[in-house]
This record gives sequence, C-alpha cells and structure tokens, in this order.
Amino acid sequence: MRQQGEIRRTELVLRRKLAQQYRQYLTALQHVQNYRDIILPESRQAYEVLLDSYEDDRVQWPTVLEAERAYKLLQIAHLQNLIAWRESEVLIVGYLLHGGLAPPMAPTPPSHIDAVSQPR
Amino acid sequence: MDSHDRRKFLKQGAAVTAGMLAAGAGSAMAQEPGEPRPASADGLSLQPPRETSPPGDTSGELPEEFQAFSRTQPSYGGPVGEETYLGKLVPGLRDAGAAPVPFEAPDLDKIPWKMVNGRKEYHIYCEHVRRELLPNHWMDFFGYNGSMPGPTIEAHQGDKVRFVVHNRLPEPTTIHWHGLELPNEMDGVPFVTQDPIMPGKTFIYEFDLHQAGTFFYHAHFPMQEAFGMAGFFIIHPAVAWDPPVDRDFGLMFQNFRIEWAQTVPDSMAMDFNWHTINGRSGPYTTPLVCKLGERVRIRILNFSPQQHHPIHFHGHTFWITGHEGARIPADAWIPRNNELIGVAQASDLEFIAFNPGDWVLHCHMVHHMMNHMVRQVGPRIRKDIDVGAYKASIENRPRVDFVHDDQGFAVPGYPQKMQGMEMSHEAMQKLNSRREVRGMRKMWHMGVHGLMTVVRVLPDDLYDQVMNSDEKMEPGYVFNELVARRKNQRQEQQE
Repeated sequence: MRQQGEIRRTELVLRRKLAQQYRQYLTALQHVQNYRDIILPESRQAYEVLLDSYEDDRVQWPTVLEAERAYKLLQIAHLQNLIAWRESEVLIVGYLLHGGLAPPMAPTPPSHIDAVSQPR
Repeated sequence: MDSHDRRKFLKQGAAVTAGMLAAGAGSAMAQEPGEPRPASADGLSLQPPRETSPPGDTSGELPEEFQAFSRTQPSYGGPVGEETYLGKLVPGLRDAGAAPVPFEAPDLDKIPWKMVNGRKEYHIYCEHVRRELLPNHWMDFFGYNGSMPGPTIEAHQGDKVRFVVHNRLPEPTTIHWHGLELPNEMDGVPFVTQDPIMPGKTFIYEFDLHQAGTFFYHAHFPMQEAFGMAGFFIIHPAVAWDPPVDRDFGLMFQNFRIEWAQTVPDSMAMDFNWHTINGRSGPYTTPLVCKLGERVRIRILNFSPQQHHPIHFHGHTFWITGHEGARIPADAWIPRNNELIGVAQASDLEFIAFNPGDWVLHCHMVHHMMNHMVRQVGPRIRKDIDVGAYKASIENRPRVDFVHDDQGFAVPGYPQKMQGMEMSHEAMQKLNSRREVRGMRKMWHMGVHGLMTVVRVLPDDLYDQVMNSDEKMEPGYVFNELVARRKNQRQEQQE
C-alpha cells in the first residue's frame, strides 16, 4: 500500500516538474522567438539608422555606441534565452533526468509528529 | 581677360559708373539745396560740398583721401556726419521718385493677388508642407501655400487688402498681421479678437494699409509659430524712400529642433539644431547677387522661437534705416557691421555695394553657424576607419586601435574645425548648379553653414556672365577675375 502511494507520489512529482519545465520551455521559446524575430532585428536596425545618421552628420558618435552596446547586450540576452530553451527541451525529452539520482523520500513527512526523535 | 582688356574694363567701368552716378546724383541730390555735387577727377567719387566739419565732429580737417566716397571701391566719405559718410545718403542707380524696386526674398515666392471689389485679394492656404532645408534633407512643417516660411505678401501703402485664409490643417489656426494698425477684429488673435478658424473653414480679413515698412504675418498659436507658420508682409511706401535702392532683399531667420533621423520639429524645444534663412540652411541659402555700385537694402527678420541673431556682414558697413514696422528718420540711422536682431524684430540694412566679391552675411552666434551640432568624436576624426566600415560589419565592428599620427591631438581641444564633413555628389550638384553661385570658389560651400548666406557684389560684366549667360563658368572664375583686376589696378596706380 505504501509502495503504491510512493509510486503515486512520484508520478505526481514528475507531473508537477514536467508542468513547471514545460512552462519554462514555452517561456524560453517565446523569448527566443521574440528576440529572433523582433527585438534583435529592430535593435540592429536602430544601430544601422544611427550609423546612417552619424554619416549624415545628424547624431553624436556616443549615441551610436550606446545603440551598438544595446544591440550587443540584447544578443547576450538572446544567447541566455537560447540556453534556457535548449535546457528545457533536453530535460523534457530526457524524462526530466537532471543531476544525480535523488535519494528516496523518507517515509515520514517532515511535519509529522514522528519526524523528530524527541516527542513534544 | 588680359591686362589690356582689364584696363579697358576698369576705364569703361569708371566712365559708366560716373555716368550712372551723375544721374543718381542729379536726381537724389536735387532734393538738396544747391548744386549737384561734382564728381571727382576719376569720375568715381563724390566730394562733400561742406567746407567746415558738421556739428559734433571734432576730427578737424579730414585728409582729402578720406573725404571722397566711391561706389566702386571701399571708401570713407567723411567727415563723420557728412551725407556721403559711409555712403549714408548716396543714392542707388535708380531715379529718386521712381516706384519702389520689387522686394526679393531668395528661395521664397510671393502670394499673387487680384483686384476684387476694390481690394487686392490674396488667398492664403494654411497647410502641412515639406521643405528641403539642405540638399536631400526634407523636413515637415506647417506653412502657407506650400512654403515654409510662407510666401511674401507684397503690397503698397494705401492699398485696401483682403486675405481669404483657408485652413487646411487638422487643427484650428488664425493669422496675425504683425505690426499693422488695423481694426481690432482683424488682428488675428484666437478667442481675443476672433474665433479660431476651424479645419476646413475659411476666414476673411479685410483692412487698409496706411503704414509702410517691413512687416510679417504669422499664426497666433505659439507652437504653430515655432512650427514655421510665418511670412514676410512688405508694404512699400507710396513714394520710394530716399535715397532710392536698387535691390530690396529680405531674409527670414528661424531656428528649429529636429532630432536625429526625424523630420518633424519639436516645437516645444528650447535648444535648436537646425537654422534656416528663408527656409534653407547654409550653404543651400541662395546668394544675394547685386551689381557693383548699387545701393542695396536687406531686410532681416528674426522669427526664431527664442534666440536672437547678431547679423554680421563682411566687407561693408551698413546703415540701419528701419526696424520692424517703420522707417527710421535719417538722423537716427546707425552705421554698423553687426546688428543684433531680437525675436520678432526686423532691421533694414542699407549700403552701397562698393566692394566687389563674395561677402558672407551671417548670424554671429557660433551655434547658429553650423548645421546639426554634431560633436567631433568617432570615425570622423580617425584616419584609418570610416562609418562605411561599421556599416559593412554590423555584427563584428571594425578594430579601432585609437592610434593617431596626427600631431594636432597633442594640443588640448584639437580639433575645433569640423572634421570629416563630406557631401554627396548629388548634394554638391544641387548646391552648385544654381545660377547665383556660378564662378564662386570651388569649395565655397565648406565655409557657409547654418545661418549664413553670401552677398555677391559683381561688376556689370561679371554680373551679366553670372546671371544672364549660360556659358560654362569654371569654379573660382569670378573670384580669380576680381583678384586679378585688383592686382592690375594696383599696378596701374603704381605706374
């Protein structure tokens, strides 16, 4: 009976972890798509427009550098999003196997009266 | 032209000038008691008739060379207070009493009129306009009849006028007739003297002109004024002012704030980076071209939102003969070479164009003598790399080693001269294909920025070659020719 309960508990834990991981996966995927399709192209465009404006004597060079820096920082953020997305994908495909084997949970829940050696 | 021809030209020029001068003197000076003034032996100069110095002049006996006034070479015409002093009352080449010479504002049109029921009727359209401030720099404004600033209203003292104002803007507007002594309900102040003219609606202003002078019209919503809604309103006197002028130019100075990569001015701004004369920035401002010896009037209006303009003119001393709204009595004229003109003020400058050449006229505020106000950092001051290298490699910026072999960088503050200002071939074509700049030095446009323009004083033959001939003219031809003639003249004098 207890073993069946343990199996059930493990199933529920895995299901919860999968739900969390899938949420993270979707979020990372959305970030990747947004960065790839909108944020990075627009940031690059802003940088290009500023280069044109500088060439046209209409903007200061520090402003161009700020745009370039913003573009580079967004590229870094995009890399982090890609990592998060790939990690989530690998976890989900790999049955959420992550790190080492987890020790089995103690049969007595931490809040149970028997969880401490000295009765209160 | 060889040296013989130049001598011939100078002699002919002197004779022609003397003839014109005699005509001018005979007419303008005829208003003075006594005989017309004799020309000097060289036929170029006016000699003052007085034998004593005018009251207040303590200069004593002025050497004769400073008493003569020539309309074809720089001269003093003293003593101070004399009518010829700095050419003060030396007439133009037109007859006194003739109709006033037409007003001319370079790069601006005039609003046509037709007589309707005894009044000159002008139609004014308030609308969005695009204006090319510099070659290929088109900006958005509100203006009148497709122009920013608006086209000139030219009228005469005594005219009865009617202005039919059509509002094509998406917001209300009115027109104020700045400086005119008119019926209160015609003054164009929203809510105070009339209801605003709503979008798509029309309003009719009617009044009579008893004044004469430099006036202007503008919207009376402040941000619309800062957005370009203004124009000249010139009222000529019923009889031309004495002494008569041969040219009557007008220049409207304005400031705008237009952010980078934008085309729409910020009408709330109090810091400005675009500066225009008649809606163009130097060097796209069209030069004022006149003939050597003419009497020239330039009416300068400051219609900037909040900055004043000290207007400096090179190579001549001008007289302030009028301000916005009125002619100044000659006794109160002031000679200057730099006239400070405040916001919504105008000054009329008059001078004898006696110094041949290309003379800049500009606001002397240094921030108004440049375009866009770009700081000198970045590729423009580097030798090894330009912006194109960045554009060609967006993902991997070019390596910059910051090593300068320019020894100038050892001096703190270097560089102060703008570096790396390059203009496209197309822009250069636009600048230099204009008739008014023919024969100017090859890179003249590198010295004219922002609130700067050029007044070209040309001997008759060069004037004709520039303005009336389609013969090919090499860059620098006029400048070099004038230098050569001057050199030749000096040699002749030494002989």
